[in-house]
Amino acid sequence: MVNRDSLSWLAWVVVLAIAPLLLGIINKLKARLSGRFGATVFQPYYELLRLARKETVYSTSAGFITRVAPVIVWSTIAFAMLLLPLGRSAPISFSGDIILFAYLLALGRFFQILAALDVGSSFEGMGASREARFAVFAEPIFFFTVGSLAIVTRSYSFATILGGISWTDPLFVVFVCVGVLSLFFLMITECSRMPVDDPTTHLELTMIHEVMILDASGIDLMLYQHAASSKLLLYSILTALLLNPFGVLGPASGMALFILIVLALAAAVALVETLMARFRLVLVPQFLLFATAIGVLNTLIFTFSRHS
Amino acid sequence: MNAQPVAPGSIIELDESVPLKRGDWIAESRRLVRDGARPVALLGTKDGYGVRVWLALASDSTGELFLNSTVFSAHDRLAYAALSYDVPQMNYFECDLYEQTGIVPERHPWLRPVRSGNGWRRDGNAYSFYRVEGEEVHEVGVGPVHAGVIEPGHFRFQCHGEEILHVEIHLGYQHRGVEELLPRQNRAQQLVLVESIAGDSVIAHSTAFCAAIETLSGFKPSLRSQAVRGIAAELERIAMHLSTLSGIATDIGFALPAAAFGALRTSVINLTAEICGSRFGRGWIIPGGVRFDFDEALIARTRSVLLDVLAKFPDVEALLFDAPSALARMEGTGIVTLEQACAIPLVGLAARASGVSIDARSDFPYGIYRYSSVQSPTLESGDVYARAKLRALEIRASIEFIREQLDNLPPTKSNAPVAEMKPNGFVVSLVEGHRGEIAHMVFTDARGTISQVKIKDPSFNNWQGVAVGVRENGISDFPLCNKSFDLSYAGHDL
Repeated sequence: MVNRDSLSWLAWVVVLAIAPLLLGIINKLKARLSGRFGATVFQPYYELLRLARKETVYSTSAGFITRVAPVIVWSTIAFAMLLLPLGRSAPISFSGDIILFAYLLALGRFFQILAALDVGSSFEGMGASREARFAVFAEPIFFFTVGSLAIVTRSYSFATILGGISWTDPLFVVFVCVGVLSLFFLMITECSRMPVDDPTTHLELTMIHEVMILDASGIDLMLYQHAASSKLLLYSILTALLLNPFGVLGPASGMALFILIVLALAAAVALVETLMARFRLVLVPQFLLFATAIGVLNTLIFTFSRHS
Repeated sequence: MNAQPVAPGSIIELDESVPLKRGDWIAESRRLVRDGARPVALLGTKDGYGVRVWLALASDSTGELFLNSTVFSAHDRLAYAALSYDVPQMNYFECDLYEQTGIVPERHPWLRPVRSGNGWRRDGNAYSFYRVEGEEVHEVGVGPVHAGVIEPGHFRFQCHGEEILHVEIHLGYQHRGVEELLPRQNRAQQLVLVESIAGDSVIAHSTAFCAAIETLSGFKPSLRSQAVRGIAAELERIAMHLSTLSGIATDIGFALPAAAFGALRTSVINLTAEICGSRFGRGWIIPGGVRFDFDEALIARTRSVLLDVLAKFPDVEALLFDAPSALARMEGTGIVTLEQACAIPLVGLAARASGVSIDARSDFPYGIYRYSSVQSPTLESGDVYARAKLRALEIRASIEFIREQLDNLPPTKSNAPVAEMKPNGFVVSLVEGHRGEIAHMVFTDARGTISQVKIKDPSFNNWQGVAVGVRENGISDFPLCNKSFDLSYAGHDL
């Protein structure tokens, strides 16, 4: 269950360390696409450093939840990252780890929402309400995509599911292509990117994720920010793994392809954010239901054609 | 007794103007508003006998301005039957009068603070916000300190879930006492102060103030300086409309048009800086003319910059107005109907977006607009889209106007010294800023110096429009609605 291969653990550390870089790349691409020069790709690191040096201030109405939530939120993301196989077997892997993965993220979200409510501000309450509402619509996307693969491959761990994806089977090809689309929608929603949430906005009334951490400062905010960028990388990795680059090309060129896919996803995020306006908030559930619907459709086609 | 219309920009001799009896004043004012006149200002001036309350009304369709007044002498009770009881247009004006003079409009439907901030009231009672009661109704307070680098203002929302039932806009945090300071300062200080009323309406406010002073001095600016002022005003309009469009794109998270409109705006304000040394036109307009005139090189430069803007504009405009995702956000959001617009009353661009055809440049022509008109289109839907689209249309019209003016700049010398102002005079000066009608009312005393000033920025009217427009919209759409009006906090707070 726990992998004794130190390289797997090293990969985990590296991934957590480069997470802010992905955010920096997205921001840089976004700036270049809209004709600006933009900040350096390392800007998110400077931001984290700045926050680490700052004092942490707590609201007078905040209780212990506000103090423990940042650590819990960060830990859940970091733990979830342990479950993903990055070219070699994952640091932690067992049958049923996809369920753990989903609910680790849900646990993180739960504490994020609690912390937002704990502060007692009407803004944060609004953000928490939006987050909780959209989570209801976002969760099925994961299960219809990864869960249906689990049904087909009859295994419940990432290692065997992702290893079972074969590019020679045309059915898998269709499934994976559509699945990647669903996961991309999920990534956008979970990581509070456009067109669901606008990570760069200064307008409290329109925010979802940013408004929940409005009262966090110093180390707490640093943990939240790092967790947010890690989450983005986490979903990019999951989406990239669905395409199974390591299984197709082997470790070395597989890694190159893997990095390329993650960068392509970053480019897609930047493109979407440059080329379209954000959804009206009431329409977000429709967008998520659309993603769920293609997941359901995909699952049905896939499952029935397997059995026949 | 019927009020005689006065021409805007003409002097009213205070000695010759007779105040009405209270009852006549109320009846007369009510009749004028019912007949379609729109209140421009309500103010109290102190004279030897007490407080004289002036009401300025504008009839936009006939281009007439009406002024009437009544006196509250020292032994009178400082109260009267509120006009806003059945004339909604007077609502906010009477709140302002109460706050400034202490004269109580009785039976006023909603007497609330205008600039006093933090719930202060003249009668000593704390003001409490309007509240909607109900199981699932919640209150959200935003500001006065905001997350972005913007001006301070407090917004108190009454929401049902994500839906706004009511919003109360509480301003006054930027109150600097412009109206109190102006009479105490010398001319140079006054100009700097007037330019600071609203940092993005420098040219419009300074034009209005200079026009008032020139009228009181019996001075007529040369045709050339009038043309230059017109060009300055339209440059300001273009720049600020571009800035707002960029802001609208930013608020819906649309990075590309936000950057593209921002770039165009920079080229226009940099052009203004090339002409007068300030990107916002500070120091350009002075009594007697303009401090900076065009020479051949500047005319050529202005032409080329505007041609460049005009060439790029269709593509940039299409980025925002041809994107389905942006249209989905703008259309049907923040609707102000024609009836609401008339009852508030909205002025300027926001009014024109709701189908009210008013524009001080054509209704009360002043300066260069007396000789050449500028196109002022009207849209009907009254939503964010209409207000955004209208800005795009006005940018084109303004560029067209400037190019026309540059082709026909009169050759005469632009500046001349201004004489002393007439004593005991009063003048109303109306100017169409990029938001709408700016009104400056200037009074002189027996020595011919400014004794009192009343300034009305279009933001004074239009903040009420924001409050009405956002009802029944999602609270997350509020910033977009607000940006589509793009009002000034400082201009309202003075």
